Amino acid sequence: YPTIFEIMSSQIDSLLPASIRYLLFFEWFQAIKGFVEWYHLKTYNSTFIDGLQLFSQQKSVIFLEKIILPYITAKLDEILEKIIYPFIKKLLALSNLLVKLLFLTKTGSVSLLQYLFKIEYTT
Amino acid sequence: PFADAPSIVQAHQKDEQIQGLLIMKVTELCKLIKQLFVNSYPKELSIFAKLLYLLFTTGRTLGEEYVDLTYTNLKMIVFAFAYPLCPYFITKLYKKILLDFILDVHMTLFYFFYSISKRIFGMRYVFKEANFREEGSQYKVLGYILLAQNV
Amino acid sequence: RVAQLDSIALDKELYGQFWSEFNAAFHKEEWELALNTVVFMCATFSSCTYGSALSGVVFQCRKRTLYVVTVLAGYVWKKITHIIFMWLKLYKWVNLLYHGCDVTNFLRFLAAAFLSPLYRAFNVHSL
Repeated sequence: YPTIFEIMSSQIDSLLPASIRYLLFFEWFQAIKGFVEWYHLKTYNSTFIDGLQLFSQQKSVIFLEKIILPYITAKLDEILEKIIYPFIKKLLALSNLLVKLLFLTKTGSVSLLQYLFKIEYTT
Repeated sequence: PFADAPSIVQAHQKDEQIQGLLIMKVTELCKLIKQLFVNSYPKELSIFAKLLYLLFTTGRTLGEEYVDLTYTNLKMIVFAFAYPLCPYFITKLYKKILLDFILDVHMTLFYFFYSISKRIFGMRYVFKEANFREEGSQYKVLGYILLAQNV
Repeated sequence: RVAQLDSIALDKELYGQFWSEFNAAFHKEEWELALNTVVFMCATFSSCTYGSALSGVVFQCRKRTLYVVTVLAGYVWKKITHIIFMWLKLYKWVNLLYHGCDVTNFLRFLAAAFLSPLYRAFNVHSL
């Protein structure tokens, strides 16, 4: 397993869309990102920004987690603002946090989905 | 083997980081004992902390220990006093009343003794990998940049 | 000795990261204490914390002593400060004493090792 610091600094990932947007959306950006990530997952077993690597359907899960879920949550957030959902969101965040704590005790996955599908990080 | 420029700079940077810690602690203490005092003598406090740091280590510093360096050719104690105090008194004297040029030349020379007082006292660093360090020294580029800048 | 100082910085970074993540999702001091405790329990028996394991340092003590020194003491001190702001005088004296000890301890650390007076009190030694 890598150290948690490496994973956290990689999670640059959140900085990227914001800065591109500033320079300049969500739909086409996610589409391009999805293409790139799929390619990287297929050839290197890791996402683009991740000296990190994943090891063991699982590829689809990672794709879902990195591309589709953020898109859905962003859209749902928009709807919520316009108008169970916050509860589910908090629950997910809590479970992710718990998995991360488990990572500290040294599993190699940092989110619930990764944990359930036995996808772990390595260097 | 004599220490190369990159590791000297690294030791120096670590030292500075830890001196920062000590300065913070000393200022905090002074704030409690004497805020105005701290605000009016920030420079004196940091000089004092640096002096303490050098007296308690050189008089190895943590940075030198980290990179595993030691001095070669009483001297240490005199150096520990002179290193922080001399620049302070010189600037003080000037305010009360070439050096820049000498400092710049010295710095360029270093990239091709890190501080001028070390040159005066003749205290060189030695190690207490060779390929790696050779690559690092090939700092020469930095030296050229500095030279251009000075010109 | 640099590794020892590094281990503290690394731990601080770790706690900070978890706290910011927790705060983004969800008695601030109590929550922070609880989270730090959980992180400590998970990441830390001599015993070593996450940061100290990374920088190759172990502390010669039991896990709970280390917990008191690194996590609990900070919280208690914060709480006392909060409540305080005769007691005031006492607080000031204790604060002064602690900082005095801190400086002397750090100087001894430089000359040597204990990272802070608390560590010494509980005899927790490690371009």
